[in-house]
Amino acid sequence: MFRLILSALFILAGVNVIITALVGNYRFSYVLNRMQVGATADTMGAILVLVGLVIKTGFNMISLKLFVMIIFFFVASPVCSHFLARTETIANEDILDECEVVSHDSI
Amino acid sequence: MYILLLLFWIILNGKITTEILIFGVVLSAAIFWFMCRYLEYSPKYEMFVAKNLLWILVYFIVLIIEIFKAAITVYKRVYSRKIEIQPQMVFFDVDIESEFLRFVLANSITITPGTITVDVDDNHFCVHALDYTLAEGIEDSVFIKLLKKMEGNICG
Repeated sequence: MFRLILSALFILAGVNVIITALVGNYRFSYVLNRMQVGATADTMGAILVLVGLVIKTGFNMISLKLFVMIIFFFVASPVCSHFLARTETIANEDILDECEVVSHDSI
Repeated sequence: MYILLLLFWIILNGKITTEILIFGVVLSAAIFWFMCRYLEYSPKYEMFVAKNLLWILVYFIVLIIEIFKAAITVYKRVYSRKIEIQPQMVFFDVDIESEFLRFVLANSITITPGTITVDVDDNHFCVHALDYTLAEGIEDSVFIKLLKKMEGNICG
């Protein structure tokens, strides 16, 4: 019973994160800002839902497979959003209108 | 790494029988040889993991805490009555020599909500932040300190 409640809490938190990402996607206007919020759904939302499912199933082969999926999300989703961000930065000529540039370079 | 490959094979199969185990041992050996031969993998990475096991655990815990802290900040921005954000593009240097650790740093910055690594060129990082508060102090964040400690352990 306790496990059920805990897993339900995790899954609800994950769904909440995904809904927030959806709302944020419509409220922000520029691509990079939208992507910042969208990437949250990928990482936190999916991971929270999967953790909830792992708690629900308990320790067996299925939960180990879900655990492999969590590790995959941890590695793959940052790479995906990084490539989108770099493409946008290279392709957009008016990027300086959208964000201010700060430099901490020591060179 | 060999054990990890074998474990992965067993997890994907879903059960342990003699045939699966024999196939797994042979296939993992083949993949391990391929990695050493063509993907520039060498057993010295395993030494690195063994030496830094404690720091890697600490790093994961810190990473999860940072993710939650940043997520709360992003939530406030999304649900505030009026959208008032100042996106920033921050350029900074890190003095981490190892290429793998720089990759880990770039991935942790991207996985934290609100910040995305746009470009990494040698040790010049270019990070886009949703709001200027998220980019504050990014050039000497907790991640960099922990990674530097790990790097010190490689040589010493």
